Amino acid sequence: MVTIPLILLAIPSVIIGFYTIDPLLFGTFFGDSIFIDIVKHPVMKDLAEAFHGPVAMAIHAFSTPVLLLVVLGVLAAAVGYLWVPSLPAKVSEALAPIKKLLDHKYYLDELNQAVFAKGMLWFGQVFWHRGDQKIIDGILVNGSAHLVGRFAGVIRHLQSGYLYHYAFAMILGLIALLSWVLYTYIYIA
Amino acid sequence: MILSFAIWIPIVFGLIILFYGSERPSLGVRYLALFGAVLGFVATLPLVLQFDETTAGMQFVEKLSWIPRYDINYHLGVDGISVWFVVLTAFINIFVVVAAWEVITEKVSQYLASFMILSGLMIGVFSALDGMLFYVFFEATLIPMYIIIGVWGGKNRIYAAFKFFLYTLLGSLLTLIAMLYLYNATNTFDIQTWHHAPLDIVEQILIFVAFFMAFAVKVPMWPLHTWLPDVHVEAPTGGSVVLAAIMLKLGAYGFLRFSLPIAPDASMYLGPLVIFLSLVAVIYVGLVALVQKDMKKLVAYSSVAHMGFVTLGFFLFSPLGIEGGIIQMISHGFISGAMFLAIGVLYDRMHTRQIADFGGVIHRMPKFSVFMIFMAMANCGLPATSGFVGEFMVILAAVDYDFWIGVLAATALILGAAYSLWMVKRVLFGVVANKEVDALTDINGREFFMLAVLSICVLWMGVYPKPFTDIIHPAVIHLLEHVAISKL
Repeated sequence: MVTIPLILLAIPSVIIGFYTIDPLLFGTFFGDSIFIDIVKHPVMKDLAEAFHGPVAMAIHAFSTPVLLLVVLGVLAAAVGYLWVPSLPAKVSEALAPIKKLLDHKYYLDELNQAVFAKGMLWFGQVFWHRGDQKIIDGILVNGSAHLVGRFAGVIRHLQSGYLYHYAFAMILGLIALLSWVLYTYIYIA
Repeated sequence: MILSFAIWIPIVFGLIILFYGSERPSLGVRYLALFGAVLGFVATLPLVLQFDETTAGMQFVEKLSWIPRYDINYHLGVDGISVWFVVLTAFINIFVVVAAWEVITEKVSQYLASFMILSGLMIGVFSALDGMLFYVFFEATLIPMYIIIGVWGGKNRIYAAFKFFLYTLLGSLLTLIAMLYLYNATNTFDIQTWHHAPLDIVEQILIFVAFFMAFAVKVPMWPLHTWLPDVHVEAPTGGSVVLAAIMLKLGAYGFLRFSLPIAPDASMYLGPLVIFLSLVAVIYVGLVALVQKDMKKLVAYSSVAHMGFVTLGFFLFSPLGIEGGIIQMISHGFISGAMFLAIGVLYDRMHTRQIADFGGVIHRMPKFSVFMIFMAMANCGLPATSGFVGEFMVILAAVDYDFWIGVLAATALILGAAYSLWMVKRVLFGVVANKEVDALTDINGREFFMLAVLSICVLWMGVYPKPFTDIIHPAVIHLLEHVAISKL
């Protein structure tokens, strides 16, 4: 089903690539919208020296390992799925650990889940419960409010409401005051 | 007179509603509030339409003598830094009124009046050019917000209302002391005169710290942020929207209007400390947001992280950083407003905000889900949304300042994506979680209108932020030129 759309897409891509690769890379295709400082980044200049047009580029492809690898890939697929269909199962069995590793995408998803996702949640919980709730809110904010309450709770006993307590405090104050006055009068004057 | 209209139209409407309204829900009061909110917003439009982008000075200036003995004046004016917040405040007020339409059924007129008055007071904060006038407006905003949380809030509303009030009041009392000191030094409460007040480094540091306490609590910056999640959880939807969209910006705006120009040397000296606190806010609070079980709490923590970006941008002392910070503030107004409205939509139907109570909402509320996903994407700074523009500018400025600060700031994008999208995944996707979710109905026309308009704003600012930056730019350059000149 997808073969025909793929062929239909491949044809224009070849034609468009053939005609536009030159102006796209070295011409005025993008106008002034892309600027490359050739002194700092001479890569396009180097590329221009190696580029001799789309035909030469296509022919050059035959002399690179890429084409060889493509041919080998096609051959391997033909062997495995057309000529000896029992082969893939045997290969997969023989190389079971490698297959498992590849199936799990090198276990990168599991690593992300275990280390980054769990780690971030762990940090979040610690910052929230220990940092925000216990230290900042518990000790600093509500703690200072409790401290005021406790302090008030202690010093409120000074205000007992009994007249004799106040009279006693006044007498104590008077004694202290008189002692101080007498002390300064006798010893300093 | 435009600024006076912008301030007093909502306040006068608020007072009329308060006296006219009764305890019973009445449609007339709702329409009156809506009319007042729209009129208030229309009154602010000339500020942007007639704004002169070629000057960095104050525009639409009004000055009347208030208390001549202490040179306290009713002195208003806006520049590129403040003008958008005046418009944004009036704009968001419309959504608050609309959001309450069918939802608030108790003490409707008092509820709407509180928000109308609050809106006028916040516009006053953004346009005051007199220190005492600023302080009066700044502190007065606490009263309606305190009432809103305390009366229409959730179960733990009294605790939240007190926490909000005491936390912010404690910080701003130090600001009053700083202002009195500045008055003694200059014999005026004129903010622009304060900018040129000769202050030695010790005076500057003390004044900076005093202002910092008020503004850092309001932003809020780590570690002064713990009031915000508690308050958001308890506040009604409208309260959360105003709090996130506008009130947090009062603090950040204060840094630009007071801290930086009045104490430039202290700002430079203490800048690295503020950058450090901002980065902690971005990373630490981002991680805390990730583990939240309550949607509102999650968005509240996300707000703290996003405001960390704002303060980070401000203290990089570059045009890109400060402009990025201001853009981020406006953008966060739209996005956080929409997020809280969206959570309100779910809460109105399910009476819960626990993420675990949801799942598969998209099967029953497809239209709503589109908006929620879009806002979550904007919240994590997806390109072509307003969330991207500010964060991108601040990250660029941060990389320019110090590569590693840029890298640390950029982790916010990853964390933002993690907590926003994970919440969306758990709430919207998957199979229908329970019979309550199964019985959900999609958004009605009123809710659609609110989320659609905010989405358009987010998209517009994301694709074409130039109208915003054009207005902001001259004032920021002027500010930086002022800060660059040492007072020592």
